[in-house]
Amino acid sequence: MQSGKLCSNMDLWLGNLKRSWIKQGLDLKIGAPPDQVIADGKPSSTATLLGSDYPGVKPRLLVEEGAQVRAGEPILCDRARPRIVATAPVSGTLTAINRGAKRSLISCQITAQDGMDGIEFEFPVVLNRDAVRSMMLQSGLWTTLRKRPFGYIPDPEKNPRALLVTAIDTQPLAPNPVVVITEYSEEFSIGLKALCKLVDAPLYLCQSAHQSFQIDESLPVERVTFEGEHPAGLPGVHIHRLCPIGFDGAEAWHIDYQNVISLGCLIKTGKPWYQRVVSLAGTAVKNPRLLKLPLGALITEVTEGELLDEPKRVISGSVFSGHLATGLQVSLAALHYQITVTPESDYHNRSPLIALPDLDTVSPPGILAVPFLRALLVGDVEQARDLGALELVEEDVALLSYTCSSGTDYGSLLRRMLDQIDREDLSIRQ
Amino acid sequence: MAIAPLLVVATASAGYQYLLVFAIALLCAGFWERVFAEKRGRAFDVGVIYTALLFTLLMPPGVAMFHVIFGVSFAMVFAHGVFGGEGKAFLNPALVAAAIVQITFPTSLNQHALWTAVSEFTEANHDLMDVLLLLSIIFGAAVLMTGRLVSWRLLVGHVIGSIALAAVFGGNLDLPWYGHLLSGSYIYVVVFITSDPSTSSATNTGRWVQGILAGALVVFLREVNPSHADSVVPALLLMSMAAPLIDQVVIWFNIRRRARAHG
Repeated sequence: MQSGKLCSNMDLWLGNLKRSWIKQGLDLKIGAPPDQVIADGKPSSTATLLGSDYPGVKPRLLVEEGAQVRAGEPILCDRARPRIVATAPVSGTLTAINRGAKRSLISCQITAQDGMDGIEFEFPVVLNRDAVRSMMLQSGLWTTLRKRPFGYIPDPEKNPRALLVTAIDTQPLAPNPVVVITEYSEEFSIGLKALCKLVDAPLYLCQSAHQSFQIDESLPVERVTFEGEHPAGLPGVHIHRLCPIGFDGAEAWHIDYQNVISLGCLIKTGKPWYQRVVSLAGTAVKNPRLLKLPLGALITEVTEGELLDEPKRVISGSVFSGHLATGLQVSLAALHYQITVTPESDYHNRSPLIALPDLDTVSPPGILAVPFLRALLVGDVEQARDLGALELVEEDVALLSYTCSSGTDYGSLLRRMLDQIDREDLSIRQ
Repeated sequence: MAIAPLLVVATASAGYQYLLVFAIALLCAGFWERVFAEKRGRAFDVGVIYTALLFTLLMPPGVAMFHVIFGVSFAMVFAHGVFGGEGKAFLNPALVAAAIVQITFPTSLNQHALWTAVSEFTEANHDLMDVLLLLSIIFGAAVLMTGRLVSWRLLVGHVIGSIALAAVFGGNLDLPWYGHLLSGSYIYVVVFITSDPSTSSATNTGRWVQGILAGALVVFLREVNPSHADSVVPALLLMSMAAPLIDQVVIWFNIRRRARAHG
């Protein structure tokens, strides 16, 4: 099929359309899965905070360009809720602040310097609700929590209906959470114990049905297993199953396993974990494996000498919901644990939405795929909300964008719509 | 690819008169597609070849050329072009063209070389050609379903709907229980035309409902009006038109369920 040409009836029926492989599982032509053994990655000269790592936050910078910062020092805070801060993952100099339209923050870069110690956070005597919250807020770990609806960083004064720990990752080529948790089992247990104090709500530990790991059985944690191919590992799916949220203003919060380890590290040593285990995999990767990388590492530095010489795209995150590592976004996003390298391709064409049965197969549970996508396409906020937009964030519709013949990025349409619902306070159904 | 075996069998069975019908239909459909592509500034959609092909197989070989031109023109303009073409129109132009010819010139469809009429199904001598025709359609259905281009729910719905209603009528027409499914152009139209995702229901529940209702409607129209020409085309066209309504009901139930669950 030639690119740019309308996807025609004939193409569809004669089978020329590039088809998604969802049902075939990981029969994805994007390279071998990574070797699930954790290796040390290269140190990065620069750590980058991306504005997109802080959804729902209107950032106010606390440090000027050119200033010296220590690891753990707050770099920016939320204008409306100044207790929410993002901290420097590395000691060094704040060398660049990049802004986009309407002065929105795209990224801040910190050039690392040796010989500066990071901030050590004080260890609270009693780990109660307020102590855990204030520790997470001070250290910047609070910004790794997410709430549904909207997918924003939650308000520290609020309480969710449930807290979910995501210890399963079904995205193609992702690191196996069990490997990482086993490596850092002590920190994970400490972090999990602290999270039990964080909220007065049930805590669910969502994990794969096939592989498990040890935790302290005395903790008030409910372990839930999920089976199946992507999107079975997405928090949106887990929340839909365990604690459906909707029009009544209730929230569910979630945090992923690597940030639980970071919280454990913070309590154990006084410093959060400034590294993440990231999988480097894809077609053009010489040696697909797991790497221990500094937070906000420059992808160009990580992949140097690791890639084959062929046309390719380098993505921070998974092939579905990651972003291209280009322009000002050449670093690893805070909650991305993969660098995916895929062949250059342009098979997504602009064409009408065709109601292929596969869209229903990859649709998030309880969502009518085609009517929902149509509501997104025409910008019908109320219809989209009534059809379940509040249960979703971008990553939940990534598979739909991937499967749909139209080549539309439904994630960004959904984000625009969610922001509008939040801004205009439309989340309560009339 | 899915339709290739059917083409071979159809050409062998009905002879080369079809080529003329096809050529005229293609020229006519291509002309209107060209006109709309230029007016609307969009790319020329090669799907018209398929449209012309599907339409040709619904026509008897001796159909008057004027009828072909009239039917295809009407369908390409009013059922396809004005809506914005493929993926936006909600009816299949080939089916609309066949319906127009059938309604406007009822006599033109009297004898058909490919499809055994309902009234002749039991007496007819089912030769090798009929079997090959059926096999090629089943092959097409299998290809389309494994390619996941048509919904199996829709196809199974048709089978259930038609057999169930045939059982209710108890064989007024003296057909075996599978007779309705296999006679006329029914399964050909279902597999290759109305199960096209842009002209059928867009929700899984809707696909079941549409399939079952459409199967039942075809049998119903045949049974209550046996003297009339085969009602497959108008019945399935009607159900294509009903697809958005069926979806709307499914959407309504989904919203109501969510509102109740989440307050």
